Amino acid sequence: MGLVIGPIVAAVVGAVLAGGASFALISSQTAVPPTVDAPYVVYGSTN
Amino acid sequence: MGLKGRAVGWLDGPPSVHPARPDWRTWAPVAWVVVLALLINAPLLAPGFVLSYDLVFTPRQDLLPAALGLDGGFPRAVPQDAVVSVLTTLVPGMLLEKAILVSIPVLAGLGMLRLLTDVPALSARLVAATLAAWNPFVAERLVIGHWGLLLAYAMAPWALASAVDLRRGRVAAGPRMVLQIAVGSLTPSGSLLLLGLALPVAVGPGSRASAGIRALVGCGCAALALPWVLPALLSALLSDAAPTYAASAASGAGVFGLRSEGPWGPLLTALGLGGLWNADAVPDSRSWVVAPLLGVVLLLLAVIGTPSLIRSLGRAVTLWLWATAACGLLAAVLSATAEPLWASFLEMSPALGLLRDSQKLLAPLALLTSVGAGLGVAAALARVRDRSARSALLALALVVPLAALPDLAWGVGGRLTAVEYPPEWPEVRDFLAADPRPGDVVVLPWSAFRRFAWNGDRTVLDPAPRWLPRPTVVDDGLAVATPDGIVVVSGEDPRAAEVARAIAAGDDLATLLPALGIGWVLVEEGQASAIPVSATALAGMQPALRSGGLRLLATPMPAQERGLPPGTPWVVAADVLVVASLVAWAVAAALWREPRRRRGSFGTVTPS
Repeated sequence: MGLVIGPIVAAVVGAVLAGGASFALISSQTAVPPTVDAPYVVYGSTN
Repeated sequence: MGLKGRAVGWLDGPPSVHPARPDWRTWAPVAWVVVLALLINAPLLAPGFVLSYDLVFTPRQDLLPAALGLDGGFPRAVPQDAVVSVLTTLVPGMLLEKAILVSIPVLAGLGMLRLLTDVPALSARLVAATLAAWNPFVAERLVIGHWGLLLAYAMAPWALASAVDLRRGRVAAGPRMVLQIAVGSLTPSGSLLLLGLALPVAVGPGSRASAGIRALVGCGCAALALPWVLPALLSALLSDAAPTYAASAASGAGVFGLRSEGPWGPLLTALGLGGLWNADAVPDSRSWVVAPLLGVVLLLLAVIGTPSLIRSLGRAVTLWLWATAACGLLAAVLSATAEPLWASFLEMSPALGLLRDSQKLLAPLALLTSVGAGLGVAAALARVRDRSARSALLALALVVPLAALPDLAWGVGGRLTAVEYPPEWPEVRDFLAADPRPGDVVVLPWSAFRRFAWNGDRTVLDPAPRWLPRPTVVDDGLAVATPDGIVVVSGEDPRAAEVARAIAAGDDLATLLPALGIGWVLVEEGQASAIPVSATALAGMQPALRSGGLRLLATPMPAQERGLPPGTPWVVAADVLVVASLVAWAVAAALWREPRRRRGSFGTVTPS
């Protein structure tokens, strides 16, 4: 019994956790980040 | 080398386990953790709100669709905003924020004490608690305001301890673990951290809990992710948002990867638990040479402490801790050293955008080095025969992490402080709450972040969406300064994209906005704009209120009613289900008592 339930639980948990990953059903696309010149408040700096 | 059988002194003796007579060895670590928390948070306890980057609280936050993930964007702050909305109906937002900020180092430190309950060496518990509460990961995430992730980090040792208990067959730990994971699951990142760390330990191979209990606890824990998984899925499937999510994830890969904090490179930076992408949010001490050195020393101590960790938590759990820490470290370093590869990985699925801010993947490493180095220090001290030398070395072990990161103290070196909102903010809120005219609110200037003089010109996310009692449309693109210029990581809200297009084109907003369900424009004067708003764009708007630095305008035509977002009933039903399940788990935790246990030798606690 335990040998069966364990994988089932793992599968259910994995399925829910992978819910977000199931977005892969829809093809993703690459974006080219635009650059702007305006001197406004930025989130932060990687410099 | 282990601790068992070593010469014992006051550092090595077990704390009193009799609940009625806790001795100083029980209270001293607790008091030490509280001292550390106060050392970090003392200036934040003054009246006012702490506003820094994503850290935004208001006196009262309304429960709006966005708080449930129904605004079209990826639900990154779900259910965090919903929980804050509910709690601020009971507690003023200012007190709630202070309670959360103080609780983060307290919970992290006490969680380590809980995880090492069975370890007799006081030195191990003290050092582990210190390292968990006081490290660069905590410092950098505090400044950038990721309190939801930090709460998950702080709850991780608690959840792990309960998972270990459940793994050993102590059924009562199950409800406790679900509740602990729930506390830390306020954001998708926090949810994944806790589920990934604790759930496999509790229900994975080798668990002595019955299959039924494992199934119940596993489902209970997994259900905690529903509040953000479901709206994300529905949004992607019902409104074609997935490509937008993917675009956002892909464009964020380059700017949100791990950042080297010195010439020693990303690996040593990551081992030192730093590397937040935002240089402006990093304490100055992170550029000191001691930063990577301490990281290496702590890792070596963790290696030394691993045999003790195995005795305390078990071989499989220790292996799992090391594996998660290693994976997180590898991914974080890859994001800095193999950026194209990392970007390709993130592009594989829109959901992987959750990983784009890759330093957060170091959370398991932070936990491992805390608990491992604590045990490593204890193992090393056990070899020192002289009592005063042991005491001195322990003091050194406690002070060095603080000395290497002194600017975590006092609100991360003054980067965080409490300020009062000007009176115009509640005035605008009250006006919009009382006015019968319908419509959501566009907030200008068109920029996601603000710098208010009354907040010391600190960068902070626009507080309007949390202040106003109506849904808002704001710039949801994230502008980041890079060596190649400003990069804008695209947003996801389709209405925001439409408004941005109209502003850029100089369209008359008065005629456009009502069709989008928007009836108001709030202008925060004196703030810079990503896209300049022409005078003609607002020419047709009607002044409604002007107070201090805020100007509220109304559209001449009433806003069109917007129906509920697709999937709303499902999301609400899931949220109600999760809340109901948490009530049930709380009742189970209260009623489900473990038989009295007697403490065995180090690493074993045997049921009576």
